[in-house]
Amino acid sequence: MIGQRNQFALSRWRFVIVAMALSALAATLIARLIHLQVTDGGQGAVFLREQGALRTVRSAEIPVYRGLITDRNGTPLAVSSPVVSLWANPQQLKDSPRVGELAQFLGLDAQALRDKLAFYGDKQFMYLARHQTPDFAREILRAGFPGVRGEREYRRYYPAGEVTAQVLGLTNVDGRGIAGIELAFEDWLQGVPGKKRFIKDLYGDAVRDFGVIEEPRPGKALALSIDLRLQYAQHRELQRAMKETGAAAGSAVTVDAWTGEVLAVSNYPVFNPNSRNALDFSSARNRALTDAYEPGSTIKTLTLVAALESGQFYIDSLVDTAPGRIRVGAKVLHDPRDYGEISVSTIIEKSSQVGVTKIAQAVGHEAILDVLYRFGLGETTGTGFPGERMGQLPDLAHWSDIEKVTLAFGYGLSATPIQLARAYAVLANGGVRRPLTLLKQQGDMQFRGERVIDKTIAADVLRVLGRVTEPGGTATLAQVPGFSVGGKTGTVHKVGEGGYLDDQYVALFVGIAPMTAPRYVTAILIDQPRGDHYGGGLAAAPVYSRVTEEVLRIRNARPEQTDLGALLASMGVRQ
Amino acid sequence: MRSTSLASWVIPLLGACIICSALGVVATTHHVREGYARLQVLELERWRLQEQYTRLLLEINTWAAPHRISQIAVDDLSMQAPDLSLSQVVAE
Repeated sequence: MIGQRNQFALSRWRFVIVAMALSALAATLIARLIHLQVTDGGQGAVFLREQGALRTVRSAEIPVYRGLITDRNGTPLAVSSPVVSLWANPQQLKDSPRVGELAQFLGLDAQALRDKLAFYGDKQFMYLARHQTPDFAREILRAGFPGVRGEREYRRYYPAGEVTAQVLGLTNVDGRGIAGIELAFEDWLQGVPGKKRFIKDLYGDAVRDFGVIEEPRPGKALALSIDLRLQYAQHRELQRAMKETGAAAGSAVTVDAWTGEVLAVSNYPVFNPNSRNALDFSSARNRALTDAYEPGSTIKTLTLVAALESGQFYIDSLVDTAPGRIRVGAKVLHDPRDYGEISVSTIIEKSSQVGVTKIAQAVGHEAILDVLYRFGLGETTGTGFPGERMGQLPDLAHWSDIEKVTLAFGYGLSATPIQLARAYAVLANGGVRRPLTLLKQQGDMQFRGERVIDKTIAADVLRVLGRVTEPGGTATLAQVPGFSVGGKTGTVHKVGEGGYLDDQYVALFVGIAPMTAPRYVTAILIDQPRGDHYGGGLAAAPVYSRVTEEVLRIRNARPEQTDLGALLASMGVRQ
Repeated sequence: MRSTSLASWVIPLLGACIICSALGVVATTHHVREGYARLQVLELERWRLQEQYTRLLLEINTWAAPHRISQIAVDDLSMQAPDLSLSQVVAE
């Protein structure tokens, strides 16, 4: 018994030792584990937390809408609308038996979808269909296909479609401006997307939001100087003219000379900005700003300015144009017939080559070039429109006799229709040049003008322009019932390989209305009108007339009443 | 003697404070979660409303498009712009 007892006592002692040793080992291990994983000293905790977060915490963009673009009256021209882009996790979807059903829903070929899923089989993201209407997307998401999810985005819609397409430009599929106003004011229109963090589960679904890290800041709205009603009317008339003349291209631009605002600008050919499928970049150009042409006889107005400034001519000074032709260097310039001795005013009214040649020779090309510069040719109009051309003024070391003269009737230089409108706006403003803008101007934000010619000269030139549209002038078709208008035609031979082409023309008309209070300047350009009606007076002036009639009606200009007394009497009113 | 009497009420007090603070944390967390859930509901609502707003905006502009109006005016209602001889300016 004693031996047994001793034995037990001994074993109890040994048991304590062993237990303590084992506990110490365990404690060391636990301490080491704590050191590695819990305290920051071992880096383990940080490492594990990071690794955990990498597998569960995601940050996502909160999409923001792009700023609304409106016309001057607040009518929306470009609207960002919420849409849903459907995407799938191919790893979850590819083996599902419902792929065929999904393809049918989306209107896709089932086999094509399976192939695509197999192609992206090792990825976790694949777009199924971008920019779907929210209702349609909800229907698909509700059907609960494995791995199919929706992502909120915005898509740009242009309610006015092709009518405003070229001036507004385009955004790409990710909502960034790539052309036109959308590009020019990208920073203003583009919002800053917000950021939020959330925890996702095994299937990639968000299970808990941590909250917003960055507040989204939506894009700001932009009011253009365009008047949609006017824009539509101008667009309609230009399209009609294109159909009637069979021309290849055309542009029209209407400017409010008093404020420098562009009220409407349209072009042909056009495109539909709401459909990206058939986008042709030649029809996406805003030709009125991006395409420079030789302005032809429309420049004679500025030659007249140079003539009046020189002091050698007044509008009723007589110039002998007999016998209806004149030799300059090796070239002979013709008038349609011998006008004989006519006034400077009549030279412009009839657009006489001989008369203008004589004026140009007397005034000299430097003086004419100087006027062209002062009227803003060869520089941008200030709209900031992407791709706007400056046109070109000749910069020759040596001028031949013919070049000195052709400058006076608009050959050898190039200008965009909007530059011509701006040059004529100087006259409408009584000699003050203003930059043009595509943005609506507030009363006090008007650009300060710069006087470039004398007021009396501007008034004289306007008087002559008024006569151009009167009987006997080259542009009687530009008349607008109830208003007096003024302007100048231009008919230019197109340049092809080997020089000017005999049978291809550009028809131009630039006009100012109403002459009682000159304000609205419209430039019309018709590129390659076919048939007999190719001249500025026949192809472009009627378009000007119809556009200007709408301009004056929409802008509420007051018609000139000729005989109020007679009208009242006819209505039985006694004065 | 003094130290025991101090311990006898300080420790329970601290214990009570800890429990209060713990309950406070629980309550605040709950509020935050509730608030966040509400925020998400409201954000969803905002998204829906915006969806509706832009749809209506596009709709109104489609119905009120100038070409549609002029087409209805001319074709359906046989309207025309008055001739200038028929109109008179009333001087203000």
